Formats: sequence, C-alpha cells, structure tokens
Amino acid sequence: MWRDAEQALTLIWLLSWTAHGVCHSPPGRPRLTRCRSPEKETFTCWWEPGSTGGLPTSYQLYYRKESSLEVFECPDYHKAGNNSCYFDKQHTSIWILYNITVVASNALGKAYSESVEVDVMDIVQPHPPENVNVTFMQTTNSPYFLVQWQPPHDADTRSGWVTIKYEVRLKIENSGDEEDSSWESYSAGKQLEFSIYSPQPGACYIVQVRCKLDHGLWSEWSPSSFIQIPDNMLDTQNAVMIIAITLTVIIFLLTAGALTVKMKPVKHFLLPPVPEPKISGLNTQLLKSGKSEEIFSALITPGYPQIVQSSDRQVEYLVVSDYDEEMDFEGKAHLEYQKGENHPTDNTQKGSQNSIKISLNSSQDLNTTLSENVHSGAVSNQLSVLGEPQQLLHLKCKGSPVKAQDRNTQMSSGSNCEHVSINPAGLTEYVEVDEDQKPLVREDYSMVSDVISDNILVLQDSIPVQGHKEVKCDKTSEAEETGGVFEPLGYLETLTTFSSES
Amino acid sequence: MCAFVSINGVGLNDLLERASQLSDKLHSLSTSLTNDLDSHFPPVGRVMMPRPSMCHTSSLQVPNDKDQALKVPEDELLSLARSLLLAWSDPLALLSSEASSLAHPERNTIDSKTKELQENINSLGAGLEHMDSTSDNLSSLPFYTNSLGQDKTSRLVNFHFLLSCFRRDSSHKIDSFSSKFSAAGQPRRDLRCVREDMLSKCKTGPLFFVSKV
Repeated sequence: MWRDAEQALTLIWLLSWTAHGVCHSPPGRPRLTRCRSPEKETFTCWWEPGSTGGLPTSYQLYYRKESSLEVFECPDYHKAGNNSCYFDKQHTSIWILYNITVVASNALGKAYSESVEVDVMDIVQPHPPENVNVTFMQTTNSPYFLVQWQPPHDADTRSGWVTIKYEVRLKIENSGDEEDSSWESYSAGKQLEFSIYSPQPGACYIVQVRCKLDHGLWSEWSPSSFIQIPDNMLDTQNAVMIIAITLTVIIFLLTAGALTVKMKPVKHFLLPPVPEPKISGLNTQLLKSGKSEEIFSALITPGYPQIVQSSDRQVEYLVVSDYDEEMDFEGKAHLEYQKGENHPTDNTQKGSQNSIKISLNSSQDLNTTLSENVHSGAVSNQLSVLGEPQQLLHLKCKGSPVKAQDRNTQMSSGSNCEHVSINPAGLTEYVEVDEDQKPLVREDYSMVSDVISDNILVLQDSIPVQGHKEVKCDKTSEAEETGGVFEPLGYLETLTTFSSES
Repeated sequence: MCAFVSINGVGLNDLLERASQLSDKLHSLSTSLTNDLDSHFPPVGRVMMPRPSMCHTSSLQVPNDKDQALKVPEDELLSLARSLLLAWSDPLALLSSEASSLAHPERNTIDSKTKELQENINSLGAGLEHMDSTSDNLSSLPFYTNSLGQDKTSRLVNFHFLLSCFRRDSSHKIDSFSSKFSAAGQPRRDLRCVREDMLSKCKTGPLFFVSKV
C-alpha cells in the first residue's frame, strides 16, 4: 500500500510538473549594459535581464555611494523605459563613485548582477544636435552649402557648465553605384553652422552632425539631411574658359596653315641660316673631285702664309748710334719712350719692361726730363741713353729702386733709389751708365741719412764731406772723385729701374 | 562689456587659448597613460586597487553637482583648483621618478609621458598663480608617501591608482571649477571675465584664469 501511495504521489508530482510545461527556476543574472549622462546633471543606467526562469521576475537596482555604506534604491524606474533606472538631479553627484547592482527576483529566488562602479563624469554622452538643416547658397563665383543646427536641448551651454564641440560629416549619395563613397568629417568647434564650398554639381549630399561635451563621449550622429546640388552650374567662368580655349585653337590652326603655305620665307625669318665656313681659294668642288694638287695650288697665294712679327716678346735691342760731331738732331734731347708690347699704358704690372731711350742734349738737364718720364708705377724701365751727355747724369728716382745691370757681366745690383750716375764716355759712341759702387752705399740705402742737393747723399756714419758722392761733371769725365768706379765699357749699359710700388 | 586686463603683456584670448590647450594636453596625456598601463595590467591588480576615497585629495570638499557649484563663489573655486594643483606636485614627482623602473613593457613611454605631465601641471600652476594672488585660501593636502611599494606588483598597482586619482582631479574637478559657468549665471560685483563665449555677460573686473585642466 505504501508503495502504491508512493507511486501515486510520484505520478501526481510528475504530472503537476509536466502540466506547466516549463521549468521554473530562479532567475538568471541580469547584466548592466550601460549608463549614460546626457548633460552631466542626470544619468540613466540600463540592464539586460537574464533568463526569467519561467516566473514573473522583478528587478531592482541598488546603489551605494562611494564613501558611505548606505544602500539606496533606484529613484525612477520608468522614465527611461524598460529595464532602466533614471537618476535625477537630486540623486546625481559627480566625482563620486556609484556602486550599482541589479537584482532579479522571482518566486524561486534572486539573482545579483555584477557590481558596476560608475562615475558620472566618465559617462557623459550628449544627445545629437537638433534641427539640422542644409541650404544651398548660389553666389556668383563660389557656390557653397550651409549646414546649421541647434545644440541638444538638455545641454546647459549657456551657463558654461559644459563646453560643447561639434563635428560635421558629409558624403555623396551614389544611387546606383556599387562602391560607396566615404564620409568626410570636419570639426566645427563651438559654432552652430558650417559652410561647405565647391560642391559637386548635380550630386546629392548626405549631411550629419554630432557633438560632445568637454572630454566626454561623442554623441550619435544626427539624422541624415539631404541636399541636391543643381546641375546647371555653368557659370560665367566656365563659359569664358570655353570661349578662350576655342579661340586659341582657331588661332593655332590658322597659324599652322599660314606656316605651311609660306614655309621657306618664314623659316628663313625665324631661323636664319648659319653661315658656313669658307676658305678663300679653296674650291669645295675640287675636294669632291679628289685632286689634291689642284686644291692646294689654289691655296698657295703669294703672300701666304704671312709672317707675323711676334709682338709679345720683349725685344731687347742694342741701340748703337754713331754720333759724329755732326749730329743730326743736335741740340735735341728727346725721349723716346718705347713701351713693351704687352703693357701699353698701365705701368703697374710686373715684368713690364719699358725702355727709355734718351737722347741727350747738353743743354738740357736730364734730370728733369727723366723725372717727368719715369713713372713711379713702372716696374722696370730700361733706360738707354743715347747721345753724348755733356754731363754726368744723376738719376735720382723718387722712391723707386734703381737697378743697374751690367749686361755683359750680368752684375746687377738693385737698391732703393740708388744713385746712379751716367758717365759719358767722352766722345765715344756710347754712353756708359755706371753704377756707383762705392762700398759706402752698396745696396743699403739705410745708411743714407740725408740728401742735401742734387748730387749729394749724406750717409750716416761719415762726415758729410767725405760721405759725399760727389761726382763732378767733367768733360773728360775720366776721373772721378770719391769712389766712383769708372770702367770704360764697350757697350751700352742699360738701366733698369724697378718700381717699388708695383 | 567686459574690461580686460592683460597680465604680463599677454591678452585674455591668448591666456584662454593656452589654458584650453594645456587642458586638452593634460587630458589626452592622462588618458593615454591610463590606456598604456591598462594594456598590461595584472588582473589581480584590479582587485588590489585602493578605493578612490583613498586618494590623498579626497579630503578636499568640492561641490558635487551643478547647483552646488553654481553657489560657490569664484575665488573659492579658484582656490580649490590651485590647491588641487599644488597637492599634485609632490606625487607627480614621485611618479616621475618611479616610472622608469616599473615592471611594465611600456615603461619608457610611460616615463616620458609622466614627465610631460609634470611639466604641464607646473606651468598651469604657475599660470594660476599669476591670476590669483590671494593664496591664503589654499588647503593643504599633504602627500606623505615617498615610495610606491616594495614588490613590483604593488608598485604597479599604486602607480595606476595614483594616476587614476590624478585623472579624476585634473580632468574633471579642476576643469569644472574654473568659473566657466559663473560669469553668465550670477552677476557679481567682482566677477572676473572667463571664457570667450560668455564674455558679453561678464562684469568688469580683473582677469580670471580659466583652468581647464
């Protein structure tokens, strides 16, 4: 009997269990999906229910604030819809962590969700901007379209509690094209309008705007706004360009035609023929025929090749004059200033050799003549003295060194403004230009302390009287007084003066 | 209209520009630092993480919502901002010195970003000081810790924790405590001009620095 009762009970229990058709169980764990604050003053949290367990399940949301242990329940379950909890201004505090838990409960039990910690500052995401409208502005030269919008109504931008920033994006709608064009985004800052320039004519644009508060999250994009750009945007600019291009093409064609008709004269005008080299006497026809003798015979003309005198060599020449007592140009002293070929006028270059031919006249003072003609800038001057000086020549160069060179012996001495005396060799045909080689002076003019007169040098370590280089003018001029080395020389010596100022 | 006084030859708009640049810079730096740290953060660290109430600046009384904030006078708000900035100079120095020896693969990046953070905070603090000379209102928020911990995990966790405290203080609190909302909402006698979008509603007064830290 007990066994029967047991079986009956089991049967009834089984029946009642199956009669319901569904398993009843405690609810599954709900899950908090997201919390959002649209304006940093309130926030809402949503959750996702777990399995209901077949029984009517109710949900409660409990929260705890950061520093206290007191547990509160959600103030408003309905404002934000199903499975949501809305915290209004009084219940919202910022910079305080909320520890939120959702509890699902049914007849069979409860289930707690995972706790979530929320700081309102981290979950700020505004609503999208409102009243987005797009208008096309056709100005004369630069058409554009203007996007305008309003901030979301709940964001308090006026008091400055939040700073709002906007972003605009647009895309051409390709109806029928397979590939979708991509979005172009533009940051619009804090302004409430934005202009897009140079839109594509005939295209249809999709425009959207979104916003963000301070450092929070971007809102959703606003609903799409559409704008159709009109097609006939052939403005005057385009027309002008087309006309200009057509005219250019016509002109080009005309020019080409004219050129083809008048080829040769134009060609000669634009590109004059290059003159070919011609050798006078050379017949190119003969070249072709190949007879060399005839060719070259034509080339050989009397007088060819010309002998050109080389003019770049300094000609050293001996001037030997035979002066009898009947001089042709007696009484005349003239200076022939023959310059070297290389350096005609400027006297400042080294190596320029200027030769001075001096024809002497007894009556004239050579000193003055020379001083006029010897330029201080001359590097070297060859002084050749012609004629028969009736006196000794004292050359005093002003500051320029005088070098007397003995051509035969190649003795040369250069010194600064040496006193050079030209001793006429009597009535011979030559003139000696002698260098005073008194050891007193040598090449060292530092010993000269004073120059007294035209022909007296005062040396430092000697008594003026004795230090004189007195050279007396003699007709015979064979004898000299102090220290003049007098050598009869059988040739003409040339004086070379070097300028120290070159 | 507002009358503006320029400080040290720099105009208001420039100052505001600099301020918002610094602010954005600081925010992006602290965000990227947090992301870097999170990339290789041990799960156990999250459990070990101290509560935000343990931040050394949590004792500072700050307004917690808009209405409260609107009631607080601007000088007080500025003092709050400055106190917060001041409170972070020591901890940032500690973070700076410890960043290079963290047990984290990104420690070099973290190190350079922390140093940049320190520089920016110092310049912002200097800017604030220019603006407001009354320093008697400053609260002292001492930071007594001089080491992040003994083992590498706790050092990492404390670094992360300090950084989150800093982020909270800088990105959010000082941001809102700049009287950006006071100019328009409450006409005050000594109101100071604040932001360019509210200039038309300001009364006259000396310059007030907007620290959008």
